[in-house]
Amino acid sequence: MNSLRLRLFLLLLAATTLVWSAAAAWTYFSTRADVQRVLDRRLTEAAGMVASLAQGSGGAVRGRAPVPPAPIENAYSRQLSCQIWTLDWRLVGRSGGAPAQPLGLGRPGFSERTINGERWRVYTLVDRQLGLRILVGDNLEVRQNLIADMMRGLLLPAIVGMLALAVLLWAAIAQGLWPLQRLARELARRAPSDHRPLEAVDTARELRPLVTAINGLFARLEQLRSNERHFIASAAHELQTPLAGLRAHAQIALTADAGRREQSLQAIQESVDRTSRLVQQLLDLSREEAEAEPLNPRWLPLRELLMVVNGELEALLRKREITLALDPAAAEVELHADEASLLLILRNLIRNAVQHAPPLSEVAISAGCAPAGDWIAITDAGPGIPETELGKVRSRFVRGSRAKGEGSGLGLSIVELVLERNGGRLDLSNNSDGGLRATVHLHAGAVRTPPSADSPPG
Amino acid sequence: MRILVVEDDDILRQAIEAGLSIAGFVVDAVESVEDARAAAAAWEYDAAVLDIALPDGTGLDLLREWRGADCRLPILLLTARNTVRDRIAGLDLGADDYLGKPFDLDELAARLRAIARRAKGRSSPLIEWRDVRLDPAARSVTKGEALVSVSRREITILQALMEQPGHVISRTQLEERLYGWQEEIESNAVEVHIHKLRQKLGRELIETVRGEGYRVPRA
Repeated sequence: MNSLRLRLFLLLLAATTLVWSAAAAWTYFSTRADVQRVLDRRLTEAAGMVASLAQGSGGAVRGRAPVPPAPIENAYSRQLSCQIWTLDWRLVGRSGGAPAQPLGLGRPGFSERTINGERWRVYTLVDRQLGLRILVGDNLEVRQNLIADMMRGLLLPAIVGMLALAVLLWAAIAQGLWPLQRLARELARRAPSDHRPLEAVDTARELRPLVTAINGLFARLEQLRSNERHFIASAAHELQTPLAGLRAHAQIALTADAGRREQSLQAIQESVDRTSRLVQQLLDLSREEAEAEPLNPRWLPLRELLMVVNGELEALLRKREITLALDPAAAEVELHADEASLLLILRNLIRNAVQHAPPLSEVAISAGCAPAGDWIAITDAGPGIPETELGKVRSRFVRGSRAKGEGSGLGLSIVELVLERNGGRLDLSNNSDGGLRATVHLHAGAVRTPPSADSPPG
Repeated sequence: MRILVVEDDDILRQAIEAGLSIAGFVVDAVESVEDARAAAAAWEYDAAVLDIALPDGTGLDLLREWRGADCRLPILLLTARNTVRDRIAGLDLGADDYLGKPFDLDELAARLRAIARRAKGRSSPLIEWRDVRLDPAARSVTKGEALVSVSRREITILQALMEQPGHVISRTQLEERLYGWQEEIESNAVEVHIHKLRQKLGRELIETVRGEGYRVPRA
């Protein structure tokens, strides 16, 4: 049942019906009891009346031949039947509609008996002085009809009332739900870009939590959209600089002499590579943000991952004369992580390290287990990052003031985003002897050294 | 003309350096606010090209700092944020011109010549002294109706002198205009260029002020 209006309507209707039915039942039983009481009294009175009449006739009744019954007048006139018997069960007289058999068994007081399929309620009065039994009885069916008639008189207006109430309820509920409808209409009318909060001034109190929740959602959407706008603008600006370099070098190549032309063409080639890397990073970032690829964590040997990264960065490593050095203690280490995510982290952190390390130096990669969580660390011998900038270099398109070489300022943002999704955290710190140490904290149990044939036991 | 270029992207910086020197400028290129501050304090430039996004600050901060210190160096802002609002902000901070990336090197050179010229109080692009006429954009010199062949360095010296007639300019100042930092200064080069200019344009154009330097007399 998806309609709030129908639901409310049915609930209210059910509740009303229940209350009315209970009232009707109550009325029925109390009416029946009243009717029973009144009619029973009538029986005793009638019996008393007959007895006093018989007394008045001075016992002559006893010897009389049976009087023929009076004719029946209407349905209710059969209601009261009277028989006068002698003590030795000789019928002295009976009223019209009264059966010929005795109505009761002769014990004084009230009794019930079925005669010819009709149930009778009988009051028996025994007058030993007169030698008569006076039996006055009511046909119970007639009594029942009387009660039913009374109930019908009560129920008919009630049913009409219920129908009227149903119509009124249906309309009233619609009116009551109007604020909800107005809210829905306001939301439906909105432009997709309109994230202003809904007016909560004249909203019903019950709707306010909903309006507050919707406004909260709007605020988050607006924030997201503004982030996205800012990101697109920054990305576009970020691309303008390499494009400006490309254009300027192309212009020089078109007009300058052979030596300059060659330099410019080389610069163009390098710039195209860089720009394409920037575009790749933007794609990585947006893919991570969209969480497009499902994560598939499994055990990966660190050494093999480094070989992949080493291959990707080969040209840069050769140009800067830098070698990647895997800590011997971590040589056999395996990591439990999603392969693409881990490669993205290593690629960006190692590229940063290589770009800032002095020529002929090493970029060290180590890994280990700790109670607080397992970790991988990448350490370079570069200038490090000034302490005041450690916090902000993670922001998008931000590069440290000591940043060297090419770079978009996106690498650390990508790493953070990947870690956020994989449940890890990046820690940047300056080594005491200079250089930066980037530590990736993973969950406990993410790093293991599998037992191998030549490793000592234990 | 000697130009300071402040741009952190090394490929673009090299391109501007190369492009402007082809156009006849002497160029010093730096990549950070700190280096720009040091260069501007040590040398006299005719104009500066200033990128807005720099690793250790923004070009706008540097511009505000320079203008606050009453430095009148003509400045052309270079930026990727090429919106009207950004342009207005840059110009209101005291920039003389604004160029969005990517740009044409010839346009950059022309705009630099224009802001340098305006800074020296000239509105005409041509510099004239009697019948000698120097066109900084075309890098050509005419005497009367005849085109005179002059080298790049000779033009640089001639322009420096003709821009401020009656003003004495020392040999060192002229050398500064001729050579960027990385270039080695040849001794006597200034004397040789002055000698050649006098040969081509007449002795009366450039006077020697003993112990001080050279000047073009007031017309």
